[in-house]
Amino acid sequence: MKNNLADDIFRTMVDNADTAVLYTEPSVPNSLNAKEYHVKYANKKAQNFFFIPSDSNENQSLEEIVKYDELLILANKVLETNEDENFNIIVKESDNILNYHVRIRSFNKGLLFALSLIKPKYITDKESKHPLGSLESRKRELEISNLFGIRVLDSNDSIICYLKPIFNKKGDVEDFRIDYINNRMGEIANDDSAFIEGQTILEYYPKNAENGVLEILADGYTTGENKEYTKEFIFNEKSVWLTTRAVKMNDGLILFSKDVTQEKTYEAQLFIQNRLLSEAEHVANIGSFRWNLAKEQIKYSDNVYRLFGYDPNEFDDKYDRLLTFLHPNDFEKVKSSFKAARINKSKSDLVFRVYTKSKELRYMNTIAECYQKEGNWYMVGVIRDVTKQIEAESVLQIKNTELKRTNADLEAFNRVASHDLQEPLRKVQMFVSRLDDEEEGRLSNRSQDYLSKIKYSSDRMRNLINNLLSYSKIDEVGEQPRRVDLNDVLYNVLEDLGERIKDLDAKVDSVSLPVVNGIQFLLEQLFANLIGNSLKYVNEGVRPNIKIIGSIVSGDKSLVESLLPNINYVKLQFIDNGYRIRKKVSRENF
Amino acid sequence: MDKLRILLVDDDEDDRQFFADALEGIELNTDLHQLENGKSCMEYLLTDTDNTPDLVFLDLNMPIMNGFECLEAIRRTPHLKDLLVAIYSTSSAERDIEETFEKGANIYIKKPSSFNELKKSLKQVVKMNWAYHLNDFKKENFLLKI
Repeated sequence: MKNNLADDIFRTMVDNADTAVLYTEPSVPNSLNAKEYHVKYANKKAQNFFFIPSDSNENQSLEEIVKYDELLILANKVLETNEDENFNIIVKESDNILNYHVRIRSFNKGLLFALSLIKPKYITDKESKHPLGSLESRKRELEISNLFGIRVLDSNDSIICYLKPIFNKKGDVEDFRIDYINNRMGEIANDDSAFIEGQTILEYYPKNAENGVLEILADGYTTGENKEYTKEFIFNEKSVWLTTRAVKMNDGLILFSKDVTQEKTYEAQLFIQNRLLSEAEHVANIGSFRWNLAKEQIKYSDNVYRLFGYDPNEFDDKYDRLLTFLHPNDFEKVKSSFKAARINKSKSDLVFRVYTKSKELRYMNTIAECYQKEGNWYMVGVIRDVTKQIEAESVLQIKNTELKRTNADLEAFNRVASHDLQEPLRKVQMFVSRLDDEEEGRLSNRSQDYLSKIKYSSDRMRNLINNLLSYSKIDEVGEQPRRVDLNDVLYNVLEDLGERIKDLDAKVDSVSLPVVNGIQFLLEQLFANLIGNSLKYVNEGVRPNIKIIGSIVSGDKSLVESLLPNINYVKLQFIDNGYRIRKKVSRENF
Repeated sequence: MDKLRILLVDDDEDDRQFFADALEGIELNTDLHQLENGKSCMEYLLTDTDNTPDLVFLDLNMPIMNGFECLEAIRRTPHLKDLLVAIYSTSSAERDIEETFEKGANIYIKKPSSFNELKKSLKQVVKMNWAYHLNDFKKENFLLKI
C-alpha cells in the first residue's frame, strides 16, 4: 500500500514536471542489440513530444519510438557505452524553433530520456559528442545551421533574399531567380516565401524591368560592386518604398531590403513643409536659422542668404562668417548678445546693421530662442529685414518732431492770440465802453455813430479771435469723434443765440435731425455759424425764418464728387429767407 | 462799519484806473491801495502787519515778480496764508486758472472788456460772504469768467 502511494505521488510529480521523461526497455531483457523496445513509462510531456499514445504497449523499434535521428544515434551510444549523454537539440514545431536539453542514461534494464526546454542560445558543434568531421557531425551541423539560419533570417527586420542570375544567349543577365526569401515579404505583400521562391524577379514584379531594379542588379552581379538603391513598389495597390543593398555572393546576389515607406512619407511631408516655409519666408522677407550651440556652424534657410544679397549656400555656414557682414559699430553688440544667449540659453532679440553683398546697408532684426534636444542645445530664430520699418520709424520721428514744433508754434500763437492780441483790444473796448457811458447824450450824432462803429468792429474782432482760439483748441484737446445727437447741438446753439433770436423774433424749426458720429464742439460751431449768418444776412424788417432738415442720402445718388458710392451720408439743409451768400464765403463756413 | 481794505497789484496803469473807477462806481465803503508788481506787493505786506488788507486783487502777467510768484510768496508767509486773494487777469487759459488755484488763489476773475461788467464783478466779489463760501469751497463757484 505504501509503495503504491509513493508511486502515485511520484507519478503525479513527474507528470506535472516541465521535463519530458521517457523510459523504454528492450522486449528481450539484457539484449544489447535489441531490435524491439516497448515504452514502459512516458509522462504527459514525453507523450506529446514523442507522439506516444497513453495506452501504448506494443513493441516498436527504438527508431520508431524516438523518431529523431539525433536521439537515436545517441541512445544507441548509451546502450553501447553505458555512459550518460547530455546534449542540446533544435526542433522545429509548426512555426516555432525550440531548443531542448536532452539527457539519456542507462537506467535499470533500459534507457531513460529526459528532455527539458531551454532558452534559445547559440549552439555549436562543440556540444556534439560526434567526432569532428564525421558524416553525422557534418549532417547535424548542417541541420543546426539551417534551423539557425532560418531563425536568424526570419527574425531580421529586413527583407533578405538570394537571387541567381538568368542569362540570355548573349551571356547577359536578363533576369534573376529568387532562390530564397525570408518571411518579411508576407508583411508587405501578403505573399508566402514559398510562393515567391522559384519565381524570377520579373515574374514576381514585372515592373522591375522598367524601374531600373533589374538593370542595377545585373550591373551589380556583372561588376561585383555593392549596389544600393531606394525604389517605390506597389503591392496590393499600396505604395511601399524599399531601400535595398545588393551584395554579390558566390554565383548570386544577396539583397537586404528595408521598408522605408514611413520615412519616405515623412520625407515627402517635410519636403512640402520646407517648401511652404521657404515660400512663406520669401513672401514675408524673413529667414530662419538653426544653430547647434556646441558647434560654430549655423544652418541658414535659403532666404537668409537672399536677405544678405547672396544665392542660397553661397557663403559658408561658419558663425564667424556671419559677423563679417555686420556694421562695425554693431559688431560688439551682436557678438555679446549671441554670447550671452549662448551661455544663458536666453532669448535674444536685437536689431543690427549689415552690409549686403552689394555693400548696401540694411537693418536686420533677429529673434532667437534656445532649446534642448537629445542633450544638445540649439538656438533657432528668424532674421528679418526691418530696413523699411526703421526708415519709416525715422520718418515718423522726424514728423513727430515737426509736429511737436508745430504744436509749440500753435501754443505760442495761442498765447499771442489770447493775451497779446486780446489785451489791447480789451482796452479799446473798455475805453469805448467808458466813453459811451460818460459822454452819453453829449456827443454829436456823427460822433455817436463813429463810436457805435468802433464798438461793433471791436466786438467783431473779439469774436473772430475767440473763434480762432476755439479752432486751434481742437487739436490741443485731441477729441475723438463720438455719437452726437444733432438735436442737442441745435438746442445748445439756440441757447447761446437766444437773445439775438428774441430781438429779431426769428423762427427756427428743425426736422429729423439724426445722431451722427462727430465732435460736438465742432458741430455746435457749424450750427452757430450757419444760424448766425441766417440771422445776420436778412433784409431789414424781415423776420428771419430758418429751417434745418436732416436726411440720409446714398453717396452714389449725390451730386457731390467727393462722396463715395454705396455709403450713406447725413445731409443737413439750412434753409432761410435771407439773401444769398457768395459761394466763396459759404465754402469757408464748412 | 470799517472800510473794506483792498489791495490791487497790477502793472497796467489803465487797468488800475478802470479798477479804481469801477470800485468807486459801486459806492461801497472800501479803501483801495495800488501796487505795480509782486515784489512791491510783498515788500508792502511784510513791512507791517497793519498793512494786511481784507482782499488782494492780483494780476498775473507783471514784471519783476509776476502774480504766480507773488501768490506763492503770500501763501508761504504764515500771517498771510489765509489772506483772500482774487486773481485778476486777462488770461483765460485753463492751465493758468488751474495753476493759480493749486497755488492757493481764492477766486479767479477774468478782466472784462466793458466797464459795466467790471463793476458788476467787483460788486459781486466785494459783497461775497467769504466766510460762508470758503466753508463749502467749489472751484466753479470761484471762477468768474466774464
